[in-house]
Amino acid sequence: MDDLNPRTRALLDAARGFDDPTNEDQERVHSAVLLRIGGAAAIGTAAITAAKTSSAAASAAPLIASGVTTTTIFSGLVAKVGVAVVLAGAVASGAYVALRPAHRIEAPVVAIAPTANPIAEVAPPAPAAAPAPAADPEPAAVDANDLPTDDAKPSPSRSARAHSPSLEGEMKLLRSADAALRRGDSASALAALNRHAQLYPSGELSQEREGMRAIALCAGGNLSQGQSSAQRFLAHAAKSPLASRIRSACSLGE
Amino acid sequence: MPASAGTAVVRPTFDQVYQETFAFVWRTVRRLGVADSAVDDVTQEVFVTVHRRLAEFEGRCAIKTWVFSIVMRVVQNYRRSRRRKGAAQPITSTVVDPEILADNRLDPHEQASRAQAGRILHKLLAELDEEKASVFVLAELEGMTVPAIADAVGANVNTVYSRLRAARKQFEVALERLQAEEVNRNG
Repeated sequence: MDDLNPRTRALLDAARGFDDPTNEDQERVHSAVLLRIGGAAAIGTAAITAAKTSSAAASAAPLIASGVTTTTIFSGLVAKVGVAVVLAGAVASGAYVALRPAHRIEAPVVAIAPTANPIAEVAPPAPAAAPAPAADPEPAAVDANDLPTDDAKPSPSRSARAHSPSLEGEMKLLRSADAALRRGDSASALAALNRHAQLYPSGELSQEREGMRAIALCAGGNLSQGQSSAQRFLAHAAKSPLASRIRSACSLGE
Repeated sequence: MPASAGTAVVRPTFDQVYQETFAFVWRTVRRLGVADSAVDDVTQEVFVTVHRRLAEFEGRCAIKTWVFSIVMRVVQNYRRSRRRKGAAQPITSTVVDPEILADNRLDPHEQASRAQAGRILHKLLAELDEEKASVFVLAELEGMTVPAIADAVGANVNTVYSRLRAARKQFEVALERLQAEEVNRNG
């Protein structure tokens, strides 16, 4: 096999590292991917891992057994993020690039209409395999032709950076709580939720926080307190995508 | 992680695949001519597809090889959509500043900073067709073996050798031409 001439080799050596991502790139894309695949990733990988490795099975089993899956949690979270961003865009029309993640994000998971009462309007979570049509409240800020097509769906990506810092912070804490729930570590989940309550008492995702708190309490064995939380949540968000999971985790009837 | 007969496939989790291959995917997407403004979107699309298809991974090749086959398909979709749009701009948004070569024309690359060299690299890769660019990137920049590349691009080994030889030659000629142009322009 021929080898490269020295000048070409020198160029390639000099260019090495030029295309490497930063840690920020890796984290930003990871967050965006998780939003697009919703809880399906979490539950899918948990199930595969549980089937293949005993240590993962040990941590995933209690969660699965208790009926607490992450799919619904993320459905609700994703839906709410969509709504939050749509509302933000409606208020600040100049920053409507923020609308792009909203309708991209929700597409694979739930259908949602921009509304002042978003929770009541949220459709039930659709299976990942049968994406619901997404509301498209505004034209995308970026030409859709710039994006992959066919079964490749456009995505939030850079626009995820357009989220307000507090929304990013909120999502980070709820993801952390969700990850802890997946490990069966309800104490850590509650710690993350408490931290969220402390930092964002009236945050965009405060409703999801309380729904997750109910699940964490019930999954952790604190059924009476969990059921109280669940009932408070269901009293004003009975149609939330989280509702059925909360009922299941906390052994509440319809 | 080859699967041996009679045992179940030990399939990595999505997060493991992400951690293991993110940097490779990101670099490769950039090197295959995706505009800077679309690198996030294309990379996301790759991993959404990885997630959807992970259950199909049978461990017959390295995960990096399997992931590359997805990268290639997503990048092809991206290129097709650009062509449909009739994009007047070049497939890559990276533009070489003539100063870069002019300033260093006695020894353009050894003196060039990494960024300068990187921009020249992108320009030259953009002159290769998709098949040649893929094998060149995998062999010369990622250090993959020809048999692994053959798995990744779905071609036989002889074809890959042939593409790689052609890609090297075309790349070297393009680099010489670029240098000559700069010398003439400044000389």
